[in-house]
Amino acid sequence: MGDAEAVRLMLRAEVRCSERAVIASGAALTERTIFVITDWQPPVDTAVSLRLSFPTLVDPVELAARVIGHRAPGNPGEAGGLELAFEACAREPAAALAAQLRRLSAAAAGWPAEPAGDYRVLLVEDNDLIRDMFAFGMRRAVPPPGGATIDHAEDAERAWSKLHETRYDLVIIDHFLPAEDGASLIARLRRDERLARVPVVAISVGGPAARDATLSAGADLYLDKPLALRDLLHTLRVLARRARTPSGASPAGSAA
Amino acid sequence: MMDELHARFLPQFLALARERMRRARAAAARPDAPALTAVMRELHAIAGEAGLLGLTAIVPIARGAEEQAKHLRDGRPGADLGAFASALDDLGHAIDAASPEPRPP
Repeated sequence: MGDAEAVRLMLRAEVRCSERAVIASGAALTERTIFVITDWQPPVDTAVSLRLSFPTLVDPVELAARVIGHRAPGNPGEAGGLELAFEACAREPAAALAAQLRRLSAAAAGWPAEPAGDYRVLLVEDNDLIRDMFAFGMRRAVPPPGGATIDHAEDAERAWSKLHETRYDLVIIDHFLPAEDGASLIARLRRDERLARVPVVAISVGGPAARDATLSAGADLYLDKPLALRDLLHTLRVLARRARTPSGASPAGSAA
Repeated sequence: MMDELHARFLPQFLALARERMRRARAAAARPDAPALTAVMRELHAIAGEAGLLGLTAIVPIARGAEEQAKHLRDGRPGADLGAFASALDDLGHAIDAASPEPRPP
């Protein structure tokens, strides 16, 4: 198996068994296991079906897995959830997915080596300090030339206007916004024919309720704020670099 | 990069967090629903900013205080103004502990 280091990208993880289905975030993917951030605690040995995806990069991959343990929530950066082990039949596609994500992740580490064009991000966040920190982090993570252009909107209505004026490659939405919350904005966006496929990353410090609300509304990924900047910037680098490659998204199954 | 971010934004965070705490305490002194909603917003902002700066010790305390404010606002059983005041004190101490300098007078 060559138990390589776990992939550090967050994935969208849809988990279901005969009793229940949840949409959650997947982390620490290896060839044999994945950690799924959720409050759901099915008994150890429960058989589940797992659907993993990553916006614009990885088409959904269906994997059979089994619960092998639970992790209680620790500090905010240490979310609670389920440890899942892939069934033997799922190990090959899981390894292919991990290898593909690892390659994407490694390729983004040195990016951009040359001007990459205009990668536009809309950050919907009402907190000025967080907006400033994010912009600073982005300038460091994706410096010019080829850096991303970041627009800001402080509430859902302003975001909606910008989304209809400009084409964005990625939208990052805080769940706790004044008036209309982030989940409602995401749901609106998913119902709009022109915007339905825009990659959306939801961020919040609101814990499980915010995660469930935004993922259920259609966010591709959810990141808790204590982890957000490091992981979000890394995710952006991967997404932005991938957006510049001619092949675009490719199914994980074809990447091994 | 996190070190750079920390060095650049920590002073701004601390000044803002102390101002937010001042406003939260003032609002908590007259704990009606609008005041408690305002307190919740201040505490949530502290949690989010601290989270992005990697000040993970502050986040659960701010989130806990925010929850207590919510329980008070919604009149939930067990909501306690004394415990809420104590949570605000704990948060104030955590913010001070994140400062490399002694607390300004």
